[in-house]
Amino acid sequence: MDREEFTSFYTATFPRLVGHLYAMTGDQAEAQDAVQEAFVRAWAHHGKLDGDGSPESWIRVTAWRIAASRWRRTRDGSRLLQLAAGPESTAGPTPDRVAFVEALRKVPAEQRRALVLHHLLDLTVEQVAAETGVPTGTVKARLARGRAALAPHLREVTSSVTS
Amino acid sequence: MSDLTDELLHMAADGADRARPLAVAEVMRRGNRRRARAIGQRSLTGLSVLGVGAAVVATGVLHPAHGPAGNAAAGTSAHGTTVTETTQSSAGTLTVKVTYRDAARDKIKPLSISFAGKSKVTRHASVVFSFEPTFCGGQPEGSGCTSAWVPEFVITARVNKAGGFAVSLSRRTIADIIRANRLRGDQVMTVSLAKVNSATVITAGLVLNR
Repeated sequence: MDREEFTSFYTATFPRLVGHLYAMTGDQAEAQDAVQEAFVRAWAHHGKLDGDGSPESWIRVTAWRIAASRWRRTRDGSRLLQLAAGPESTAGPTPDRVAFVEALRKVPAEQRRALVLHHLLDLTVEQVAAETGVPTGTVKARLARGRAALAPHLREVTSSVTS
Repeated sequence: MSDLTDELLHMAADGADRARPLAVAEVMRRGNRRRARAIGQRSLTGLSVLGVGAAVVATGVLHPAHGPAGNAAAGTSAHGTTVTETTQSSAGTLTVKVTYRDAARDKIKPLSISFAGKSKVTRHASVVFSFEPTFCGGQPEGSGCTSAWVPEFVITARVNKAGGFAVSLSRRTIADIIRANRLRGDQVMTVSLAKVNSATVITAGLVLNR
């Protein structure tokens, strides 16, 4: 990937990838930092990026690892991995969205990641398994648990909308 | 669970809207620095010095097709073409030796790259070797000649008490250089002996003809 290709790739995908990471982490600043750092690494190892089937997937996986690594470092921490997290000051524009973001952040990180890859990026269970490096059974379990954990919150959101 | 998908889509859209990317030039600069640091850490053969206050630059160019110039020498064997360039400045002496052979699609493949020389300043400084291949063979850009991405490779070496140093790059480092630069024939490979965070001390340029 040469300079021009990288520039086009960066410009086209950066916002989208931040959006994906935001959905995975529930933290806008963390998502932005992780994706930014992933692009720096991508440029530093652009040969590796060329060889990969999907550069965007490479960035997403790298950004996730960066974010996860930071959580581990800042744990006790597990600022985003743990169940309880404070509301983000720059969360979504509506109360519904804020409620959903909070609900999502209460889901364990790996479950949240699986939910985002499957439901947002429309990856199959097998693709999610490949990206996250776990068996498909584990992915299915994470999806089921994530959905189950989120279902009451979604109902709350829905009911608050309808009421 | 379509509402989950919808909510995730909204959330991702919010995140994307608020994304504030750095300028791509800054991303590349950080990437280059990261790469240089990694390679420098990997390929070190020891070093300590060359503290040079003023930047003194001496440049020599070797063009094997046209015969040796100055202190340069070139030769071809079954193993490939070897070019050697010796450059002197008030900071010391730098000899660069590159052996390479032709590769497919107008490219060249360095087989070995080594440096040796003598530094006149031996305190409180590190030495870096930076590879800055200049594309277009010295021609100005435009007129059908475009520069490719040129990363900087920093190789550190240790200077002994007498001021001498000798570095032979590892195969892995050479592979990194090849991969990053996509070296083609008829280019100038610039090798600089420099002090960290300071100006260039000695620069040697070698034309690697195909």
